[in-house]
Amino acid sequence: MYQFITGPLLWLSFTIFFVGCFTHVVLYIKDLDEALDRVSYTTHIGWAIRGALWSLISWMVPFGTRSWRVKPVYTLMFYLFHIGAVIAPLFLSAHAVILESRWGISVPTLPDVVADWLTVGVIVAAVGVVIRRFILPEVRILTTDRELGALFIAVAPFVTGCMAYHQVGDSTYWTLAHILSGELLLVAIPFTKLSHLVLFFCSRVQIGIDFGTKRGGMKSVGMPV
Amino acid sequence: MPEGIFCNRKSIDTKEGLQEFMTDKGGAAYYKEMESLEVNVPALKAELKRTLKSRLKTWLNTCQGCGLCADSCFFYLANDKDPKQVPSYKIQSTLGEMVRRKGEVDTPFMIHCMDVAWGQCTCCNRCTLYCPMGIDMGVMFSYLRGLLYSQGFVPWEMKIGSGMHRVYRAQMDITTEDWVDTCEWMEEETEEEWPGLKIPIDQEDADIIYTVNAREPKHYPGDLADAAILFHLAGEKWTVPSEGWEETSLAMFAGDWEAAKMQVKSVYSAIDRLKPKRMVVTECGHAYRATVIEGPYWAGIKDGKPPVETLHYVEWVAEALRTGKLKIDPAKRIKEPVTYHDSCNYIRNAGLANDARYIMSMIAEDFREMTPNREHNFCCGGGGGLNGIGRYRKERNTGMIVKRDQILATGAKLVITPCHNCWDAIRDLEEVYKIGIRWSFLKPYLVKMAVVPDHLQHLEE
Amino acid sequence: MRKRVEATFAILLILLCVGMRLAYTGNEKLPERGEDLIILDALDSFGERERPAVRFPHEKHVADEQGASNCLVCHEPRSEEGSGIKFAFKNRDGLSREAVKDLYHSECLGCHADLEAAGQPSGPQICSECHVNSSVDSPRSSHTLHFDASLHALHEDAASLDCQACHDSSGAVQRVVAQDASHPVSPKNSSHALCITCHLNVRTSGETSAPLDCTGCHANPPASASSSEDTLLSENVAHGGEVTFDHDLHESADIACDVCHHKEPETSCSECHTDGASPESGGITLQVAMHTRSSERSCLGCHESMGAGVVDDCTGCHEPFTVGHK
Repeated sequence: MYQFITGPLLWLSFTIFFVGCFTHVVLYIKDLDEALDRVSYTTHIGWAIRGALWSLISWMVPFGTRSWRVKPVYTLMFYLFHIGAVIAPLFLSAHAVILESRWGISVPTLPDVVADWLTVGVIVAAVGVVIRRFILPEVRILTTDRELGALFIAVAPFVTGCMAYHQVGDSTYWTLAHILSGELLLVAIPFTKLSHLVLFFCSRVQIGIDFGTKRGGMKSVGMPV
Repeated sequence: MPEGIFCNRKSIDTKEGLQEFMTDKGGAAYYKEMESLEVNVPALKAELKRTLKSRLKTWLNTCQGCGLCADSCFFYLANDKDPKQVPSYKIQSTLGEMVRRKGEVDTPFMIHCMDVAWGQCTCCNRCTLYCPMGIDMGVMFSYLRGLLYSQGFVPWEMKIGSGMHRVYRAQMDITTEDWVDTCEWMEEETEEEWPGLKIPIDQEDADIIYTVNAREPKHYPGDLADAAILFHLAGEKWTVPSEGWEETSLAMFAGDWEAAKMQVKSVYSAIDRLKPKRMVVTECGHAYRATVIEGPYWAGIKDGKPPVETLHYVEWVAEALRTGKLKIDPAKRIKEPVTYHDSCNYIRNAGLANDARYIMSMIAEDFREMTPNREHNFCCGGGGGLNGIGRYRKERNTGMIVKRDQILATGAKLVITPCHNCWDAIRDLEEVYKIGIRWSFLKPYLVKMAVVPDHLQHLEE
Repeated sequence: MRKRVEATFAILLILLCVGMRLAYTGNEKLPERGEDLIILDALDSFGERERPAVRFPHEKHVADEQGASNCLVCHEPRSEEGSGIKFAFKNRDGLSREAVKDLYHSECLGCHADLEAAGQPSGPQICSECHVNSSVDSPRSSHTLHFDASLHALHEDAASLDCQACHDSSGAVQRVVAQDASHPVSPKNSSHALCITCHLNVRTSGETSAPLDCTGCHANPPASASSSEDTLLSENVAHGGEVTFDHDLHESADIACDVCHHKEPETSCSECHTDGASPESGGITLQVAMHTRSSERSCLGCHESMGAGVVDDCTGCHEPFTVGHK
């Protein structure tokens, strides 16, 4: 069981994940249309790169945009969730052990206690985000089973991983559930709203080029998009 | 009834067609007919397939529903935070739903889309600045307007507007003769006070070609005179074209992309004909956006830039002040508290915040920024064509509350805005809410306070 | 489908987990206590551990039928022939923290994975199955080994070992001397070196009686225990057989009283020299007092200087052990 789900099944999940994400990016770029989008992507390369970077950096730095600054509580939850969700799994020492033993790849790792706190952060933020979804009318109206489903899929590996790490109940079961939910997450990313893992970058780069070359980026330093 | 006499999928291409269409006062019959206007589903499907590409698909599909756009929308704020006014909800329940149903929608749905696309969104693009995913709902509503226009579901006034562009290459029924006459008339009007002032028509190789908003020759010819005086004072070698002088584009607001293309091409051909070094656009937000920002794409210009470098009026004024072509008499600066309203179309779509601030610092002693301002400024409430649509007057008046409160918070009683649409909206705002403010373009104040160079004659009346 | 893809995935995930929960019968929990559990504490010298130390069930890894060569799967032989094995995990010396971790992970998990792949019974591969958060501090009830009289007799008679095989000349159990003085060899390792090296050599010669598995010696109660008055090897004090001291014989040998009764004539040796190092004794235990060759006052020192013999033969003084004899 363990060998299978951390062997062929893991390969399969990673394949679907990488192929799916790559396809998203390729299709996104291929389908960009200068005439329909009314953005000249290729004629002002310097400004385009500047706009794209400005857009990415402003939004990836906590409180880097006015949108983040006017909603500090949400912003904290957002970054707590996303930083943990990205950093913890990538640099978890236990994952590194599997990587090392399966494929001989050695990666830098985080101390377990840091990864643990990041995981708790992800779970706490997820709970906070769900509560926010239900108590704020403007977010409730945007909430469908798609958003809740995506959040559920995304958080499941963190909850099961946390249970397994702290050995609450039957840790072997939690570990297996953790591996499966992690693989399901990988598979789900290309097919769900979780594809924003790559489409965020596509979209931000696009709007960054849009504002950077066409809509004022050449005239106003620090257009906020 | 598949298509009505007034309400149909055909554009208005003739003078007679326009006249006949306008006999239906206020569009009463038009909207009645719309209720039974059938949706051409195959055409809608085909249009979605042709034009709904990765950018729009991604915008629609990757909205995570975080709700950060809610507070960015003045309609949401003005309507007591009605969740149905959240930008994401508005676009998802209209364009999003249309795409999910693959274009298989019915007439009531299309009318709902129209009511949202023109009555609940001015395409001010403010929400774009608040979306972590970079989803531009203004652009999407503009796209939706195009789909709706092609199916005939467009507000009555918008249909007229695009028809005007098709027939007159102007948003109003102004012929070339009307325009030339107005220019000559204004030249005569100013002759006595400003000896030597000319409004040169169709001069080739000028430094500046000046283009306007049809409302100026139609309703406010004095604005044209003010522009002429300021060019005269600045010593510019300028001209206006006899044809291709109209910068605005109600076609853009209507989603009539064909008319929008016709309109900007008329301006670009004037540029080709007269070969000016630069173009200056009057104090109008959407005109600048239509002809300078979006127009090149409609006209198929590869690099997305107009044929010659083009300045919005604030850019020209700022440049003239910086280079000293225009000088302000410090004694004549505005003494009272004054605030300034940025037009969405040149702030969030052209980045002209700094020039406007520079001008205000030169002409006002007590300049008070609204909060928020610059790129984060709220729409006047009447953008995107909303000012002109009778069907959504109530919605517009409600939406203006946000701008009203922003102005009141500054304590200023004078609002300067270099945009016709905003100017109108603020005028209407005063009419509706009576908060005791005045509103103005830049030109009247600049004319009053500009220093007349020694070599020019100025005869006060 | 596209509309509800997230919810579909979420439900799939729930079904998967629930299904697994139902199908899953629970894993074999490793015992928290056991004589054979060894705490793998190789990382302790690098500071705080991140995960609980592995309680390594040594017995599970030692299959008797594979013989002594099986040790070499995990242990390195010592350099000199016949000198046994190193008790630390192989190739571990001098490695960094990360390298030690990697070594254990790759060796343990690799072997477990290989066994599973070969369809053989295998060990855990899931983190928490080795790194168990245990509520029990120490896996063993005690470190002690009940080296009782019968075991002593077994070694002396059946294995025909002479005293010096295990004892030094002071009578204490031999200590392995560390090569590096800054890292003294623990009593545990010392005893293991002594016993297991011998057992290994015995086993290598084809004899099967010397146990190599933990519970062969550390069973509680030990397999061969017959008496409750056991000696505790872990204290490294092996009491020899009783000595019947003939006082008259020594008096007649013209030894002055104060040679032995160096404090007061009436004070016996054991009043000061107890089994422990009492303050009155100046830190010299009874055993040391009797066996220190360099001291004229001790039995051995005196015997040696007087040429009285029996210096190297314990049984000259001590009664030999025999089964059932006390």
